[in-house]
Formats: sequence, C-alpha cells, structure tokens
Amino acid sequence: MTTLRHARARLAAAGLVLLAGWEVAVLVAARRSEPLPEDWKAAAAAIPASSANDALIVFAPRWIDPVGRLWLGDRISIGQAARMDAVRYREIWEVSIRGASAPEVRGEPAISEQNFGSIRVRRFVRDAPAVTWDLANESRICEVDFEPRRGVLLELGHAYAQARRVFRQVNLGTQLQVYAGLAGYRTRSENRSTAAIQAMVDGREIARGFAGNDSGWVALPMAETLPGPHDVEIVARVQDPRGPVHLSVCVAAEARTRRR
Amino acid sequence: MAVRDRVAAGVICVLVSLVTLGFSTRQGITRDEAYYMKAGERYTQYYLDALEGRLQRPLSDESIWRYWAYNIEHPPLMKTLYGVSWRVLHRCTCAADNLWHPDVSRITSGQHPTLALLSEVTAFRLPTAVFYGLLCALVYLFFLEALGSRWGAWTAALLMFAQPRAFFHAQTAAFDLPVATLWFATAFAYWRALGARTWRPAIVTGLLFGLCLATKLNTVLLPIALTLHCGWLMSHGKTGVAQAGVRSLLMMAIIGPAVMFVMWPWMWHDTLTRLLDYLSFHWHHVHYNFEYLGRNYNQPPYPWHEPLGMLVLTAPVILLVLAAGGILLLCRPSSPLPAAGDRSTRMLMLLAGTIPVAVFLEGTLPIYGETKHWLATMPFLALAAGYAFDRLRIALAQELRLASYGWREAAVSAVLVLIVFVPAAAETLHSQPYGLSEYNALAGGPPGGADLGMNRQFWGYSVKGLLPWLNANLPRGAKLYPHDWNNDSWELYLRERELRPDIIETGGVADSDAALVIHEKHFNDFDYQIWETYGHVQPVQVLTLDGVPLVSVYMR
Repeated sequence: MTTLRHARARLAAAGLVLLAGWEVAVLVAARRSEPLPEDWKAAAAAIPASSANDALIVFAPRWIDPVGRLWLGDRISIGQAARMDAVRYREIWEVSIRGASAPEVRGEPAISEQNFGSIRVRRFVRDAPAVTWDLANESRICEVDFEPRRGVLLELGHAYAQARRVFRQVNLGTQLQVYAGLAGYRTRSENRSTAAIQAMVDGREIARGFAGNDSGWVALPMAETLPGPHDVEIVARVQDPRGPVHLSVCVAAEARTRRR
Repeated sequence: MAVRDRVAAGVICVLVSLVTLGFSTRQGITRDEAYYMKAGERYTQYYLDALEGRLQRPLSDESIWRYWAYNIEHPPLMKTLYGVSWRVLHRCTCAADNLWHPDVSRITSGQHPTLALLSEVTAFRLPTAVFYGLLCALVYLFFLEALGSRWGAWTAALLMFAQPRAFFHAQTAAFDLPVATLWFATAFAYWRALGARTWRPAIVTGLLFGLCLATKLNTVLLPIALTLHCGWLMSHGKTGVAQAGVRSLLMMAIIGPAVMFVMWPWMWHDTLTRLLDYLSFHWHHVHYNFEYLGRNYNQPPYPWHEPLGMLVLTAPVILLVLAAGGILLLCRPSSPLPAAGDRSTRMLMLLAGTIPVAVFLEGTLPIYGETKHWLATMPFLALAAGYAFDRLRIALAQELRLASYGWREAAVSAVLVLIVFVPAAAETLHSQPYGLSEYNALAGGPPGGADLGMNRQFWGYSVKGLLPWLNANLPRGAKLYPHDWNNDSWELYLRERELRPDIIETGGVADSDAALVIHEKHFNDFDYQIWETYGHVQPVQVLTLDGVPLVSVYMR
C-alpha cells in the first residue's frame, strides 16, 4: 500500500501514456476501417450482376448506404431502395462493415460469407412469397422516419378530414400486408395529431393501425385474404387531433401468396 | 509578469495564428461566413467612402442604410475586421469578378491597392485565426498568473489549441471563436481588476466587454457570471475585492453598450427600434435541425444532456480526462494556487466556464450550433487540464527525486507535455478539414459518431472537397443543383478560382444535370427527390471522412 502511495504519480503518468496511446490507436483504426476502392470493387464482383428481381442488396450500418450505392447502385432499383419491407425478396446480399448487421437479415443464418478488406458480404436465402399485387405503379417515394418508402399519400389537413383510396378488382393472394407512416419531417414537425389507417377488402375492415410523429413505418397486422379479384380500400382519418393537423400519410401494400 | 512570459505568449499567438491560417486554406466556406464576408466588404466600403469624401452625408440614415442594412442580426466588430483584413491583404481580381461583389463595393476596372499577400477568403479569415492565437496566449498568461508553472501554462495553451471543433471554427470568418476569446479576455481582465485599487483595470474590462457585445449576443451572459462571482466574494467577507468587482461590472454596464453603439452605425438612427429588432431576432430564433443519438431535433424540448454529450464525444479524450482531474483538484481548498486567494479564482473559473454551456442544459434554446455556442467553456477546461498536468508533473518530479530546474526535470516535463499534446493534436489533425464531422476516440472516431447517430455536419461547407471532382467531371455548362451549398459561398468559390465558371447553379433538382446531397439526417429527403427525378439511386461520387458519407453527387 505504501509502495502504491509512493508510486501514485508514476501510476498516473503511466495511465496518461496508456490513454494517449489508446486515443491515437482508435483514430488510426477508424481511418483504416474505411474500405478501399479495391475492396468495394471486389465486393461488387462477388455479387452477381444479373440478380433476379427477388434479390435484394442491403448495407450495414445504414449510414454507409450512399457509398454502397456508389459501387452497387446499378443493381438496386428505386423500388428496392424504397421498399416497403424485405419479405418479398428470396435472396438477400448483405454488404457490411464494422461487423454491423442489417435488420432485414438479423438473426438469420447466412449461406455464404466472404470478406474483402474491411467489407463483409453475406448471402441469405429464405422462403419468400410471390407478390400478386402492390401499389408500385401508383406510388412515389416518401421520406418516412428519414427512410425512403414508396407509397401513396393520403393527406389530412383538419381534425375531421378523411382520405381514401380505392383499388378495384385487384388480384389478392392469401395475405395482405399494409404499412403506413407519416411522410415529410417538416410536416411532422408541424403536426401534433395521429392518423388512423384502415385497410378494407370488399368493404370489410381487415387491418387497422395508427401513425403518429414518432411511430415511424408501421406494419398493420397482416390480414388473411381469399385469393382472387377483390376491391381494396385504404382509409386514413384523424385519430387524435391534439393541436395542428398536418398528416401526410404514406401507405404501401402488398398482396402475397405462397410460392409453388 | 516576466518579459520571457510575454514573449512566450506572443510566440504562442503568432504560431497558433499562422498554423490556423495555413489550415484554413483547405477549409470549405460555411454558409454563414459567406454572409459575413459580404457584410465585411460592405461595412469597410462605408468607412472608405466616408473617409475619402464619397458620401455627402455619411452619418445620415440614408447613407448608413445603404451599407449597413445587410446582416443586421449580428453586431459588426468581426465582420468589419474581416472586411478590413480583406481590403488590405487580398490578391485583387475584383474588377473581373465585380458581379460577385456587393453592389456598394464593386469596381469595374483596375485593382484595389492591397498588399496582395493572401487569397480573398484567407484574407477574410485572418482575424479569426489571430483571435485563436490570442485565446491560446491568454490561456497561457492566465494559467501562469493564477494557477501554476510555465509547464502547466504551455500545456493549457496547447490543449486549447488542439481541439478539433475550436480549431475548425478558428478557420472560419464567423463569430463563435472570436466571442469565446473575448469572453475569456473579459473574464481575465475582470480577475486582474479584482486586485487593483484604481478604476483603470475596470475600464479595460468594460472596453473588452464592449467588444464582446459588438461581436455576438450570447456575451450578455457574461455579466451574470461575474455578478454571481461578486456576490460570492461579498458573501465570503471579501468586501474590498468585491468592490473592485463592482467597479468592473459598472464599467461593463456603461462602457460595454457604448462601445457596441459606436461600432455599429446601424444603431445610430432609430436606435430603440433597431435594438429591439436585433434582440427579437434572437429571442425568436428558428430552431434548425440537429441529429443527436439517432434522433433529429428541430424543436424543444431538447435532451438536457445534449451539450454534455457533444462535449464528451468531440473534445480530445486526454483533455477531458485531465480537465476532470483538474476540476477535482481545484475543488480541494488545499490545492495550491500562486495567485492571491482572496479573488476566489476557482469560483470565477467555475462560473465563467460553466455558464456558456449550462444555459443549454435547460433544453429550450436552439441546439443547432453543436459545440460552437459554448466554445467559451473550452479555455476553462484547458486551464483545468493544465492544472492537473502541473500537479502530476510536480508529484512525478518528487517521486523520481528530480532536482527542481534540473535538466532531468525539464526532460521529464517536456516528455509529459508531448504525451498530453500528441493525442489531442492527433484528434485535431484527424478532423481536418471536416471538423464538424469529427468525433473523438471515445465515440470511435467519425464512424463511431455515425454509429451513435450524431450530427454529421452543417453549414454546407464540406462541398469544397468535391470541387476538384466537379471541375474535372461535369460537362461544360452543366446545371448543378447545389443543395445546401448556398449562392454566396458559390460566388466566393468562383472568386477563388476553385469552381469552373461555366457550371450553372440551379435552384431545383428537376432542371438539373447533376445534383448534390449534403448528408444530414433531415436532408435524406433530397436523396429521394433525386432518385425520383433521375430515375436511379446511384451516385457517381461520394465524399467521405473515414468512410462516413459527407456529400453525394448524382448525374442525370
């Protein structure tokens, strides 16, 4: 104990040396963690350029997305980049750095893994349904929770507003999945209300959900449907008008059926 | 104070100024400083036109309005200095570039008579670099007078210099670093005046506070810190010292506003209305966007810990650790101070160092300025760090039984200074020239900051890193959508010959051939607009810092 007390300054100085070394080492490691162009080229070469429509490339962590699209963006359609979710994709290529994992494949076993410098490329294959109908043709890209989402916009501007879109005789499968979220951060920052979203099939409500400023991209409960042509209606109205109502509700939907 | 210390302070000032100015040539133009440069040209031209008799009634509201009605939301001191520096030092191509200059200061032929030493932007920025040098020198002097040895003083000055965010702001023609310098200088002058029996030091304090007021509004908080300190002195029976403090406060109240008034011709007419307009602008200041821990904030309530979180994740870790140690040591009444104890130096440091950041803990003030709104806290942290360093150095010399002033003691001290300075300097160098995207080792560097969802950048300055690429790759006459890169900065890049003049700035994505997206969370929408308009999602170039995207370029 006495020795320790007498060596206190030396210990503190040693601690300072360690701290200084650690601080410089972390910065060097951060700089070195940036993938080189050759790594990106090699990673891009490892992913087949002619991937089918049901293949998807995702990046992790999310913030490398612009760099990922620089190298692999020619293989990513707008619909894929602004997808509703990743359920329809049978094959997913995850391109990641820093050991990050994309939420689309988190917890799933990869069937292959390759490393190119600091880039890891993993391939995932899973069962995916066939999509019999979606809103792609009528959609635009919306910013929901700062992410791109393709959907139709339903605007609500006052407490008693209601907006609806009807899609006549669409080809439903065995399941109908609807997502909704509030588009536009400026609109959200002015809004103090919540929207209720109902999905109806042939006039009967099959799913309902709520979208507020902080709820992000909300999956309505998956609905079981009878395959075949049906009228689908999506209705949005103000649920909880507390203060200003500026609701730009972005809605996406997919009808799915099991692949044969 | 010994002559050698004054010389050392001068050396610190000159070296820091030169290094900062040198680095500023790589620094992108921030949107705000582009306005201040323009204002500087206008204000300087007013004085020139008035002094050279080109204005018939220079003091009339009509004359003043013509030059001074621009950028009335900020006082004029730094803008005027920027204008003077530019007017004296720039290499002049103003006649050829006359359309890119403010209307009142255009020339159509010839050249301005100047020393032609610096580029236009560097000339504008010189005063801030000098203020940074002054700040580091003042930290050195204050430490020496109030806290400890020359080794500690050098360390404090070096740790003031090697701060990524402060170093960034010191390279811009903006107000945040200068106002931190003036805040510290005024507190220092007040502290010195506490030991005086005459009014002269108090008058100096008042004059310095006037310069504060003529620089930026947030210095109105300084009298609060100093009044609290005076109250502390009184409550502890130090009446004589407190009286000296009151003298300074009185001079600050009288001379301070007078200095601001004299320096700001805009206030010479319709004073009350214009003063209220100025105050009202800041009272009702818009809340810009700021990402913190993954969430985009643009209105209160803000998390109370945001300023602390930003501090902990942006200042060099070695500075934070030493400052924490220094604060703990200074809290012990038994810790030795060379200055006379009756001035309550520690309490002054605590108040003047805490208030700039403390006002943001309440969660209602706009937080868009990351760390810049409380840069005045940083010199006090550097002082505390220097104090911890000094105590460690002395204890180490005792443990190693080194003779005072012996070469071995000097060698050990010098090595210790290096150990402290190198990581801080590494953090600062690592951040260049994208200081607003830098996060420290605790965060894991810029990629760690991105993982944590910290603010990526603001002010649109990082596009400078893409100018060579744009010049080399955009087709002749291409229409470029510049996103958050504002027109005033664009024109300054043209004046600096850093941007091809045939590239056309366009106001929307729809009619553009190429488009930029400056990556901030709340700007994501611009990516999506471009995807929809161009029909693809692939940028052709992405500017990064350690792999973290700063700006993307798309081509149609």
